[in-house]
Amino acid sequence: MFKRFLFLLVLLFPLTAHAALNVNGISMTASVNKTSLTMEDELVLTVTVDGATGDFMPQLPSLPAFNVYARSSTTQIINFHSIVTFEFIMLPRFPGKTVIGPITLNYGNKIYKTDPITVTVYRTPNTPQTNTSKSNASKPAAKTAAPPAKARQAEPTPAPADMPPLERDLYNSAARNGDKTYFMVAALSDSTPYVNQSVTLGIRFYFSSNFVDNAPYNEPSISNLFMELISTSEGRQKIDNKTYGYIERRYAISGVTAGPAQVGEASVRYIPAGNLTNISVFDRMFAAVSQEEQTVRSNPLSLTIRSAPQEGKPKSFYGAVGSGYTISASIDREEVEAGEAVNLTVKVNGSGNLKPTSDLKLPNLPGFKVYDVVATSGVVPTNGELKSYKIFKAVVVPLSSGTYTIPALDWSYFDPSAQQYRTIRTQPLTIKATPSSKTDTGFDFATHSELGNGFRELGRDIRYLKSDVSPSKLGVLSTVSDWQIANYLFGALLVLAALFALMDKQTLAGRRALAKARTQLKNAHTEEAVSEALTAYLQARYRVHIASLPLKDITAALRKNGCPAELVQRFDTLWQRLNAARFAPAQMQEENAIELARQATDLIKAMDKGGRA
Amino acid sequence: MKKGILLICFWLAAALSASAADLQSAEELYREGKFAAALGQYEELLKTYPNNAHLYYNIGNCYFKMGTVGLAVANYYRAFRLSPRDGDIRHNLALSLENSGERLVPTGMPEVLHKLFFSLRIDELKGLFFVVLWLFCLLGAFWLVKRRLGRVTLIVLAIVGFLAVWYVWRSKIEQAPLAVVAAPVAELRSGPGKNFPASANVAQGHLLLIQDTKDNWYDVVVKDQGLQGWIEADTLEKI
Repeated sequence: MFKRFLFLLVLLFPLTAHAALNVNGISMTASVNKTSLTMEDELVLTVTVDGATGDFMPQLPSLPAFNVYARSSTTQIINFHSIVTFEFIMLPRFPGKTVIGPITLNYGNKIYKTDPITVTVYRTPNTPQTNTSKSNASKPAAKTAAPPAKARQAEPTPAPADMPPLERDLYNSAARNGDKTYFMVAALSDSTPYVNQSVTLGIRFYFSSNFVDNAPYNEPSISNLFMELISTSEGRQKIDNKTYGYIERRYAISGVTAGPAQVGEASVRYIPAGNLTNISVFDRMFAAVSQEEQTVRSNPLSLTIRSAPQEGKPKSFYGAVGSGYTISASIDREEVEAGEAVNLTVKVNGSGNLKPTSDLKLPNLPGFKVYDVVATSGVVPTNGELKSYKIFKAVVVPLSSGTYTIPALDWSYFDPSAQQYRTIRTQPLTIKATPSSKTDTGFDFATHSELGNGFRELGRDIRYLKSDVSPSKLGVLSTVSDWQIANYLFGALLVLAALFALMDKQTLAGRRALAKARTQLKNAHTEEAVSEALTAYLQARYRVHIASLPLKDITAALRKNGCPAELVQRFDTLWQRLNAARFAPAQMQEENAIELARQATDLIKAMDKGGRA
Repeated sequence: MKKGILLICFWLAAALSASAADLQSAEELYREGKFAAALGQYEELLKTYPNNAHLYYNIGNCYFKMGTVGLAVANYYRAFRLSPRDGDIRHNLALSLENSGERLVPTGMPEVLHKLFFSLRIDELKGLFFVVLWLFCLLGAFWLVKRRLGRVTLIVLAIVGFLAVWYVWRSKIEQAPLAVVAAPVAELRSGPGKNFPASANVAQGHLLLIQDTKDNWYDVVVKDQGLQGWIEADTLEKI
């Protein structure tokens, strides 16, 4: 029983799931082929319902400014997923700005609504109101011939001054070609945009006579530009009382680098319907008709791409130029374990081309391991203008437990209409990380090193603030470094010592010898002691080694070394007495030794005063 | 007289307590993640305490947290010159330099040698040089007169020579006109003007040696890369 029930459940699951998905996954969008048009133009309102099945019809709001003259629907089913597109073709009833209110859909007991769309309708010059109502009466076929012009005015009537530049230029260019049956024109909404600023390129193929279907269209060549097709539409324009149909393509283009840029010729190859009348069906199908093929080309256009101004350029400027940008940031989880990945997503939307802008740079996130930012971008043509988005995804991993805040992320763009930079920012995000429960040693990153003893480096950050304003220093050395004058003082001391030592070296030696000899003689009580003191003095004073010399040689050496003759004589006499006492000690008394010491003292004093070494 | 001294003491105490309150307030802002506001307060305090290593360090921290690595490096470097033995300053300078692809300790040099070389502030090194020089003068004079302590005098002379070389080397490093790239990217051009072609981009936080100045342009050498060229002064922060 249970198995049967399970079998039925498995069988019915795709159907029930699909039905559930259909109810839950419905979305409805509305768009128009142009937001500025003339009274002669038709407006195509497209409503796309994604995910709904069955029989349903969106409810249009009250549209007093338009006549809805045709509607159609197409359904696409891809992998059990249906997309139904409704097209409403409308003609304006009177000029002015009007709002197409929300389109509603009652489906699955829920009411879905689209955003309102604002459209501006301009008065067509020389177009009487009666013509308008006449035009409204019949559906204009895009490739149906209009009645040929019978007369031409000398000067084409210019477009209204309040028309947007692109519409005006296209209108005026077409007016200048009003004498041709087939022609192409091209115009730009701005020919001096900034790098990455999105401007609109409009190319129209005008015809006032039939041509064979599927005329091949060649896109213009471009240089130094990005180009995205944003819409294709058809319309009518009256030039010199002649009604032309046209097929229009609009592109969003943006400059790559500052400098000149070019939009080359677009072309359409066509076969005028008049040439087909005498050709067999077989020939039409094959090459014979190709000989009749003709080509029209649009005018080439030149642009000058400007750099966004350097002045006031914020750090968070990544190259976006445009207006109405919004930014948001989100994380997939607010509570994780330390070491688990959190996906951080930052989305930027706005008017302009975000594809070529640089990637967002995340700031330093302390406490996180941050992996490289991966960016994806895309463009969404909406109501005749280019909306683009860029999504930055980064994986951040809290390295340890705690509460972390990803700060507000700044993102700047240049607004060309206001001629200034604007900065938008995300809200700060908070992540609460609990301690890791995976392993007892925590988690591992290849880039982080093992410190040993159970410690693992998780990341590096700067150290915390200093709470005082008195850094440590070696005060004494710092103070001393200012005492420059002391250098001179110590230097002078050194110089003085050197001079002193150089100038009076001998005198010093003599004085030292005198002092020493006088002390010895003062304490001498024998002739031997007197003799030794005198020998030491003469050796120091006159550098004469008298111990091993005979008296004659000693006196000669003394004279030679500058000792005066009188003092030499006195020394001679004293030395003989000392020798006599030394060789006849019995005759010597202590009193005699003292007398000899006194005489020796007198002699060395005299030598110190008068003698010269 | 006594009243005057009391007034001065009172004024000093009031000024110190106001600074302490400002420091605390700046620290609270920093802890709350309001780095720009904390930076403003620290810069105000720097006017009261010029050339203060700790204030430069705190300013560097604020810039680092704000993601402005170039200005963080500049302020850590100023703090490092004023207080080279401070481990926190050394750590933060080394980390911020690493973030911008530079190294504090030159490749091949042992870190301990680098720490020894920068163990003294330049004025402390000068003071030490003076003290040892004076000691040498005294010993030299004594030796000249008494012919004693000759070996000790020679050893002190060798130390004087060593300190002189150290001081001159450090002075050369300290007085080198350094700058750091403060803008996200600075363009190195072949001449002092935007009409000269750019030869290289230098990322934020890189250290440059200024060689010449002309109008609003610096002739710089990019250390370790062998590049030389002119960079607009507005993109650099002189240290």
